[in-house]
Amino acid sequence: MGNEESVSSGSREQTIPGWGSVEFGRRLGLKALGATALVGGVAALAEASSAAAATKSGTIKIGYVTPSTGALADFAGPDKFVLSLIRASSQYAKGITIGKTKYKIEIIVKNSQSDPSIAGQVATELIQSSGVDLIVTSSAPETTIPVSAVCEGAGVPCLSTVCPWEAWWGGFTGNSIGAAGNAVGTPPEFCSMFFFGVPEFVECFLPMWNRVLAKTNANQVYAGMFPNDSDGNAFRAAWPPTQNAIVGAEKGTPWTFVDGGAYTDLTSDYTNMISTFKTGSGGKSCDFFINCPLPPDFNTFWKQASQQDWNPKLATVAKVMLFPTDVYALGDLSNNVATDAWFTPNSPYKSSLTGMTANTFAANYQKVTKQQWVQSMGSTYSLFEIVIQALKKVHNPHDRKAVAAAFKQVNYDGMCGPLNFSAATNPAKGIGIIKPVGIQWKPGSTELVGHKKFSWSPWVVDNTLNKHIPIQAALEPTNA
Amino acid sequence: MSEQVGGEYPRTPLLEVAELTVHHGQLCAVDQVSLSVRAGEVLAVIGANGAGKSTLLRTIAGLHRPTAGSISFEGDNISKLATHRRVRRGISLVPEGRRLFVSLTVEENIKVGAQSAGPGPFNLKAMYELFPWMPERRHQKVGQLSGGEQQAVAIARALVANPKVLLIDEVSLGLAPIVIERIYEFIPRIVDQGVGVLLVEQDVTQALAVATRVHCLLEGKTSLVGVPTELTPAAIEAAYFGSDVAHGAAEGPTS
Amino acid sequence: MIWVNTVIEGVLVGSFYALFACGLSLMFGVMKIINLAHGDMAVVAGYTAIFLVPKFHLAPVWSFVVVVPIFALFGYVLQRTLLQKAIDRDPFTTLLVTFGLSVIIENLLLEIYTANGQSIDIGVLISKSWQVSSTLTISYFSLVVMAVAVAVLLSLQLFLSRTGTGRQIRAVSDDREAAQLCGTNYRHIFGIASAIAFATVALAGIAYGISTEFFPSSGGANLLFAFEAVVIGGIGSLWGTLLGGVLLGVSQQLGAHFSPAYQVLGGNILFLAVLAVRPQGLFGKRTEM
Repeated sequence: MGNEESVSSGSREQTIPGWGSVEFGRRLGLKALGATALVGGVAALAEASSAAAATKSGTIKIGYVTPSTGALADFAGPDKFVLSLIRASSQYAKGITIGKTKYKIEIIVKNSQSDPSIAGQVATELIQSSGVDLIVTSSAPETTIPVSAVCEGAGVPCLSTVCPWEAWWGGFTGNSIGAAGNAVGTPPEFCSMFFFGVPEFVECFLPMWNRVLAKTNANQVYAGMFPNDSDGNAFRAAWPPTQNAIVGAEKGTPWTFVDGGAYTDLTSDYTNMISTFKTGSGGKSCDFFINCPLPPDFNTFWKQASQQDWNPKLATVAKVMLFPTDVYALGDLSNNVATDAWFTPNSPYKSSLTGMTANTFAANYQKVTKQQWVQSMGSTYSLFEIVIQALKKVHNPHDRKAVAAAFKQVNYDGMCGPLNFSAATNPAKGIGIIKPVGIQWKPGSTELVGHKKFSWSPWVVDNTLNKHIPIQAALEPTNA
Repeated sequence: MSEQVGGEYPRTPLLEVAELTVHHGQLCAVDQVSLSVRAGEVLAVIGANGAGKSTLLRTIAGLHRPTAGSISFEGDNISKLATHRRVRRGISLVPEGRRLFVSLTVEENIKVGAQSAGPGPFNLKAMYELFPWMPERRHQKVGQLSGGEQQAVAIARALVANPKVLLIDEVSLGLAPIVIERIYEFIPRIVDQGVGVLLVEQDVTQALAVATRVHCLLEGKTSLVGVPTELTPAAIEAAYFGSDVAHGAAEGPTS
Repeated sequence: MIWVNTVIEGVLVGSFYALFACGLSLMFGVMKIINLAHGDMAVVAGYTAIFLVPKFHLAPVWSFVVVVPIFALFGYVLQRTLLQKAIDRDPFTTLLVTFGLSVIIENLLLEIYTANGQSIDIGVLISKSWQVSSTLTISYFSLVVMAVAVAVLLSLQLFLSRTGTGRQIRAVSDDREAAQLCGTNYRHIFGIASAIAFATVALAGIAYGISTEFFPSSGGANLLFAFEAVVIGGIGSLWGTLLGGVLLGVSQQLGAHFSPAYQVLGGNILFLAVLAVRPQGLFGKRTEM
């Protein structure tokens, strides 16, 4: 529903909750295609020059495209710290030996400014001017899709993360998402990625709803606050069917969905929507809450919900409250709001480069930067782990096809846990899946903090999807 | 003003313009004009359309920057003084086209003029005496007034600043002859208070009737200076239209 | 009853729009400046409230005590320097300068305070509300914002109509040159008008900062609603701005009553209707004389 008219291809396309729709991705892909054409012309030239460089130097150049500024800058917050650790690790500091040659590794960072066209531009610069051997990139479809599209066009290996795989997949021309949420099309030759997708969102949140339902006499009615943007329309289209399928398979009681309506981003008043949620369905008000708003809109909405006395038993939010900034901005109203986490210091995972534990990693981050840890630090770290994993598999690091193929064969344990790019269960070749856990924001700090106490922390409250990660706190209703 | 006896004022000029040249872009609008205005006299600047009269006045008021020459007031060079400071020194201009504040009432218009007033006889009350129709219409917006009434408000607005020199630009423009006459009746009354008046006028007859001295401009240059009673109509006509004897132009228009 | 609720909510939101718009209206009315940095100024006020006010040991609720005077001064100085220089050239330069300001402010905020979202935390006060009926709950915060908006516009109107400076502001707005000829230093008057405009935008920025989470880039979204309020009410008319804001709020709420998708649309339809039927706005003056 909602986006039929904007979809031109014959197959039913699905859009991806939380991260941008396939349609959106496609648009980015098309935009990036312009850059691709440009790259195509010089690709041969770049190839020739890099081949020449290979014999002379013995340097592997890695480009990293990240949104250091702009709307997505929260994701890039830990970049500096993470890169300092990566560069200090022996493989990156001393270089790696491939075949009989010792290669130094150089990392070149480029800022996408949270803008898709700039992301494409800087990727092109990395390829043309810096002559990089491969590119890694992170944070939202706005960054990963244009960068991947440019790399695919230029024939440069590329690894992405922090973008639902559906959005990323749809960013390549000719690819789409099938009715069952499956990947339709051919995997890109030079690009790989790791993260998770729609089903993991549902599988992460639904167990928490069920647990709160069991504890309270809540109504099995859930509210959806989905804006009229690509993310919102995607969630509206994908969430209820995905959830119904999962509940149906488990033979559970069906849930009733109340749609708050396709509001415009940055609306300043939500009292109408809140009264819709209070009214609920069949005389029962909405007791569960799912959304994918812009951070300021959730802030406004949540304050107004408390003014209007709508207090859902459990709020599981997507796209917002991932980072502490949203939480501090919301203050006390953040209490027990739940969301997903793809990295937590609580996990038993370790660096494949140095053996450093996730806990030490986060604790050091807090010590050095005086900032609270954020989950994107884990995924960014893993990008550079996986690069080493892939390079170990090739004979010539400047052989782009070989490096790109090597990425799709990586199967290792690292900062984000076990990750297998070639697992049979993967949605497509070259897409690695990590499993998120459910967290709730609660006052106080976990022990890892050491020096500084932070007033809010994300506590792991549900590990249904990933049993490796221990639970830190009891799941509590958002509003008692 | 210290030693004024029986309507006689100091003979030193209040306002002195020396070799003033003003350009509008490339065009030289005022070309080396010198003149002076003393207290209690009316200097009428006449000339055809485009002779540079208004530019001269606006430059004296501070709205244009001269390219050369100087403007002195009470002995001080004020060529670089901002417009509003010249008003406070004692130079007020009644601009061409009246330029009233349309969203303000009659009284408010005059009050704006009075806001930076120096000491002197003219205040709101004096204006209401000078223009008896004003009090009962003081709360009307100026847009509701007739052209002549608007001109009166414009004069009152300039007068309440208690200027020592009042510059009046084309007061008769667009008004009926009877109204013009009535407006001109006020000028002697202003002069009687010791104000020097510099008047720009296209209507030569009116100008000559009130002027102590006449200054004629032709294409930005001074073409004639004199006392009205001593000037022949032919000389004025020649200076006005440019069929100057010195130029010997035969094609000069005759009226 | 449901309509009553809708209208009441609309009036509450609308008065925030009016508060936000009145500085824009004033600057346009007096200086003919379309201040494209208006929204960013509000955001700066929010950041000032968060990062400067704690140094004065004031509760966030009282941040306006510090921020408003600072902004008034800032407005005066900015007008007398940068904006005046731009006005002295031409309107297009002025527009470009305010656009440039908007970009610079956004980037400076990003540099200094990062892209992190911020919100002015007034604690439990934000959640307090008044249960009018079973279907209508009014938050105290929106009530306070409405009271502030009305008070600001009322006192501004009184200031303009009753005081000498107010009269000079109106005179300068009508005819800058004629005002100079009356001895008015229009640059100073511009400075004062700008100081007032900035003081009001500081209030709006604080109200905005309390009600939501803002970022260095948040200025633009609010600017749009402020523009709509100004245009609906009539450019340069303060009562018009209040009415414009309220009507915008009400029409948004009426739109939202049918579907949340129509909330912003409702306001835009009113905006377009006013532009089509009465381009000078409801209270706008036609060109006279």
